[in-house]
Amino acid sequence: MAKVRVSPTILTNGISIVKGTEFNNERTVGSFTAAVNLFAMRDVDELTILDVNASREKRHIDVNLVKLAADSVNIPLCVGGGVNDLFTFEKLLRAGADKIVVGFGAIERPELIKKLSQRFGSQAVVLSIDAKTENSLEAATLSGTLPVLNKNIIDLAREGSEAGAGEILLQTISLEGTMRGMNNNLIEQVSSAVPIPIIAGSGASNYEDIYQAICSGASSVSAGAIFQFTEHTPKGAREYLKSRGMETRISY
Amino acid sequence: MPLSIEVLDLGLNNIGSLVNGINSTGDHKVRVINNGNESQGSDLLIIPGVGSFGAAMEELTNRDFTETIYKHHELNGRILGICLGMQLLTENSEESPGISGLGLIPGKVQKIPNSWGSKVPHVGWDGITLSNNNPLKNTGEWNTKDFYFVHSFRVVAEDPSNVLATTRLGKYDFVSAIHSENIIGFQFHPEKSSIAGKNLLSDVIEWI
Repeated sequence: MAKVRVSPTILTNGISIVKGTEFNNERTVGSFTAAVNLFAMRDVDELTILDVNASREKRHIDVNLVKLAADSVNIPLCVGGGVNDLFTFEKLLRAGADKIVVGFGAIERPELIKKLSQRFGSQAVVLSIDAKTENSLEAATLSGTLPVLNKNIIDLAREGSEAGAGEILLQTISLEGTMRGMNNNLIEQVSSAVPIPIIAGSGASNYEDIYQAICSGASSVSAGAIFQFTEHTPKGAREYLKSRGMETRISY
Repeated sequence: MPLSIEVLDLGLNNIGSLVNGINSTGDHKVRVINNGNESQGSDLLIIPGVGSFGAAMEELTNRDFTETIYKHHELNGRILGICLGMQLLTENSEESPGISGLGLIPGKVQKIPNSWGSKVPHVGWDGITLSNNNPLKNTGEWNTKDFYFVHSFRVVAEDPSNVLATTRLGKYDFVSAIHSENIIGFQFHPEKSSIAGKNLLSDVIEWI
């Protein structure tokens, strides 16, 4: 059985790394290459890189940026930002991404998830679904940059799974970057509704939060702020999870 | 001992990590080829793979790789198949009905059933258990390390002697590595498996 994963998540505006809260107000917090190299040295389970401006600027995450990251690491890479066609998906795979996140693109083209999974295999396709607030299962966005969909999140998850998505990146906009804790209720409901793994994101403030998210059904936890702004580390997270009885990756 | 290694570029995935991984095991002559007629023969032929079975077999055909592989195999050259590359070595796959694989290892590819009790696709780090008569050196080492898996389908080997390693998934074990006299296949990605993966590749190079 696959071990639980903790995936440090780097957000980029296309050039530097940024961090904001609630999918907004991002400010530059550092150099892209420095962050990638740092996490590579720390031998993390998986690295997630998302270009948060891509969708709203009507472009996709820079292929060269992805290649730069892929050439620096020998661990899995999950990337995303503005991907809405097969050609871009293929370019990103060739640049070194193992999995690619699709969000907004899947609304613009409902057949996209199906076509991507048929050509590239489900395992490469990650569908991004965001709850607008931690209080409701009804309001959702994909990529967070759009008018609220007012669709039931569980329905969206099921549709995505049936269309061929391999994993769901599940975030909650109102919690993002705030380190107020994670939306475990949502994680539990989505995880039990679909057979595919859930990557839970948004709100982790300490190792216990990560542990609880996994207890709620997440196979992986995507965390940004906690690793960038606090003394918590991916290794510390792995050690904590192990001390709580979870099977974590054996590392060097 | 420096080897001559050819990596087939199927156009579907990045082989940078793989080439880096191979280069880190020694001073080998590594060539990435886009078409079968670029092949100059080699000690080791590597078939990487990302994508769907059908799409990959189509690329193998379009790029004249199928003949290259068969010729290499006939001359007893070594072959390493990774992830989808391992699946392509078998006869067919549920993922793409009607499309034949290379047929170098008897067996077929089937979807991992949801009924096994694990999330599917099988994504993440997982351990392997090597079978007893395996050609690799550091068996004890590999049985205690984790490697990166990302797949929805698994190989069902017809002949147990082709099973190099298994991994538990939910209630059952699946074949996570296969081998024959001159072939090794890994379902996981050694080139994405950090230090353990790099060291395993060294063992594979030794086997050659």
